Order: sequence, then structure tokens, then C-alpha cells
Amino acid sequence: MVTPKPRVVVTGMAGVSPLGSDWKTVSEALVNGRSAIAYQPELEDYEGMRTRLVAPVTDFETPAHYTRKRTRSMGRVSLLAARATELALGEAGLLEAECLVDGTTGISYGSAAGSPPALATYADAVHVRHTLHGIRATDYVRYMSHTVAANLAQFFSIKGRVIPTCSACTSGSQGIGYAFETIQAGKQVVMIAGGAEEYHPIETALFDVMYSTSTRNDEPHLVPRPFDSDRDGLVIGEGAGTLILEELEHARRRGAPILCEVLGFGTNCDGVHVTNPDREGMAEVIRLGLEDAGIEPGAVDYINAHGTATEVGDIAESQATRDVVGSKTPISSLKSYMGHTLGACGALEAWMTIEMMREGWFAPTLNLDEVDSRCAELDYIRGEIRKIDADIVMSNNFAFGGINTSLIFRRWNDVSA
Amino acid sequence: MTESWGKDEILERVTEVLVKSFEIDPAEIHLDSHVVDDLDLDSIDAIDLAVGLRERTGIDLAEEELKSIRVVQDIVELLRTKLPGA
Repeated sequence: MVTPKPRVVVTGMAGVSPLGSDWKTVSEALVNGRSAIAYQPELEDYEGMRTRLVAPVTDFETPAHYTRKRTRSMGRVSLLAARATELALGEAGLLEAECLVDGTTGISYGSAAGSPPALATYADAVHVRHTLHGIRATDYVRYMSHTVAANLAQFFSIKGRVIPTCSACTSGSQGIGYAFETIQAGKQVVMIAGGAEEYHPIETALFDVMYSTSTRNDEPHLVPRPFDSDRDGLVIGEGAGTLILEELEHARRRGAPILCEVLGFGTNCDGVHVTNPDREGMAEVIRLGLEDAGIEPGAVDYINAHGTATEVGDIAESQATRDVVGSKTPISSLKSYMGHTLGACGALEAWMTIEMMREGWFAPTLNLDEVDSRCAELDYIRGEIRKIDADIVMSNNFAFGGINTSLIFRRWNDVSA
Repeated sequence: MTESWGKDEILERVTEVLVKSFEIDPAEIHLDSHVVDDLDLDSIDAIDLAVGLRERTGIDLAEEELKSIRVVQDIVELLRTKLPGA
């Protein structure tokens, strides 16, 4: 007889986002169609940079109880992640728990890059000035690829496994997915999962050189426009999102709040092109997620799209979604409100999608006035929020390198469970 | 620029580095303050102490010299011995 895999639930979640750093503020923004996209004068200073648009986190201050020694190795990307994680652990009731620090808890977390200013310190000293003077011991730790996961481990005294999920725009979703699989495999009982990113001009630059940024610089509130015929590219955002995943029986024994169940995770690679999305690979990852969850496509009540508002991305994603799920499932993109938060997006979008499911409504895609005729026919939520009594939601993300993820969550209902 | 520094002036600069690099309250910094027990510095901080002292005084400390530091006075004495003409 095959022993069933342990069930995995979310017992805490939080984010620091361009829309706010608590669900009440974020939900008010979504309900009122408030965009966080802003004109960034700093970007005027870079020759060749076409975009001036960014979705920054404007309300973050390092909390006073974050002492120098606990934060000296952290750039902004790690600080945002630490705060989101502290809030999520607080909701889960785990901040003072023995299981947090006895090896029971691990971390699965990533960002597209380490902290860019620390990388700049190294590049300026070694490459430009040919000196090591001025480089501090913690500069490398701030920009190393697994800086966020490593810093979170130090900050919260984690002794379990650390899985850095540094895969650009799927860093956060892989963070959640690999945390889910780690608990299913019985390797850890609790996982801190998510992703983060810190805004820096190099991130707008990397998309700007590929002609992928929005350049409607005088109309920040009208972009990005995922799936719209008038779209002209993405806007870079920043933030951090953390989900606390926990084995169901462990959560029940300690009386933890159960916010939803993680039902399935699929991840794969297109293996075709390093930056262009591939409809086949995207469709396959959605199939993998559904198969892992053990559900039919029709069981999904809402899909949170990656929806970056790039031409190739939107078209391929919409077609892949229709190929597998059909055209009847409501879908929307939160990037229309807070831009593309890169390593954070999978986690922030999962957090917000789960919260919307718990409240029975879903936000429309902002600025989606006329669906691009090359995008597949789908039930795009437009104009105003839609009330849906959803039991199962899907959140999809796609990254450079052809990496795809699909996460599936189920509303927690102790009676049916 | 360092030729005329006296002991008090060196202590003043060391204090500046400690305050700026490690957010230490200047009132807590004395010649007999222990860098680990009183000022809460560790091995990573020692490296940044060397970076800060170099920026403030132009003097490089060797690894062994850094390891020999126990109290603030040790830093002051090290810098004094390395001043030009010392």
C-alpha cells in the first residue's frame, strides 16, 4: 500500500509590495483600481534608457528592532524579504516557536539578483578603479546569488535546509513549489517560502535593451496593459512575498491558522529559447500542475496570470492557458497594478490570489480595454472586481531560461477536509 | 596628514570609525573598552574596522595586527607605531 503524501497548508503569509504591506491596504488598492506605477526621474540619467516607469515600495522602513549585526549583510532585497517573512511567521504564530530553530523548518526562497548596489561596489572597485580598497566584508554577502535565503536563515536562526530558488521571474513561485515538495517528501515540516527583488536601474535596463519596457512615460496610470491590444511593454516593480508552508497535522496539533491548502505544483523548462516564451512549454507546465493536484482543468475557478504586458509573453501565455484549461475560467494579471516584481512576483501574486480566494472576489486586469486579437479567447476579468465563490485557484509564472511554474491552491474548509 | 597626530587625536579618529561603521554610542568608547565584550564586534567587523581605519587614516593594518587587538587602546597604539616617523 502506498502511503499518501503529507498534505501541505499555508499557515502564514505576508508581503511588502508596491501596493502596500498589509492585505487591507493592498485589497483597497485592488478594489479601487489604484495603480502603483510611478514616474522615476532617476531613469532620465541613463543614456539609451527609454522607460521612466517603476513601481517602487514606498512605505518600507527598516524596523528599529533590526539591529546592525542582524542586518549588516543585507541589501534592500534581503531587508524586504526579512520583513515579509517576519510578518508571515507572526501570522503563523511561529516567531517564538521551537520548531523554527530546531531544524524542523527550512527555507526555499530566491531573487533574480542579489543587491545591485553591493555588486556595484565590487564592480567599481575591481573593474573600474583596480583596487580592493573600500570593499567591506559584507559587500559580497549582499550581492551573492543566494543572499536572500542565506540572510533569512541567519536572521531567523533557521537550521533546516536552505533551497535558493534564483530563477529570475519564477524565483518566488519555485520558492513556494520546492517548499511544498520538500514537506511532501518528509524532509521538513515547516518551510519559509517566497521571493524578493529590489528595484535598481539595472533591472529596468535589462528589459529596456530588449525593447520590453513600457515607454508611455507620461501616463503611468495607463500601463502596463496585459493582454490589451495597446500594450507596449512591462514596468519593473519591487517587493517581497513570503508564505509559511506547513505539514497539515503539525499545523493542526499546534492550533495554527490554516489559510489554504497547497494542492499542486508543476515546473518545467521550454528548452527552446533563452528569452522567448514557448506556448508548448507553458501549456505543459499547466498540465503538470493540474496532474500534481489531481484535478481536472474545469475544477480551477480562477487563474492568476503571469501577464507581464509584453507582446510575445501575453500571446503565448493566453494560448497555452486556453490549450489546457479552455476559455471559460476567469483570469487576470496583478502586474497591471504593481508591475513586474521579478523574483518577488510569484510569491506576491500567490499571496494576493489566496487572499482574494478567501474573500470570494478577484481583481480585474487594469488597463485591459480591448483584448489583443492575437491573444486567445479567455474569460479576462475587466473593469471591476468579480465575485467568485472559488475553491481552487491557479497562479502561473514564466521566466527567462524558459522556466515555467504553475501553483494550485485550494480554499481551506475543515468540514470537507 | 598624519604626522602631527597625538594620542588624543588618534583616539578621536578611531572613535569616529567605530561610531560610523558599527553604530556604537561614542559615550561607550574608552581606551579600555574591550572590542568583543564591550563593543560587540566580531571577525567580520574586524575586517570592516580595517577598511574604515584605512579610509580615515591612510594606514593599513596586517591580519596579525588586527588579530592582536583586544581593547581600543591596542588600536590607538598600533596606529601610533605605524605613523610616519614613529
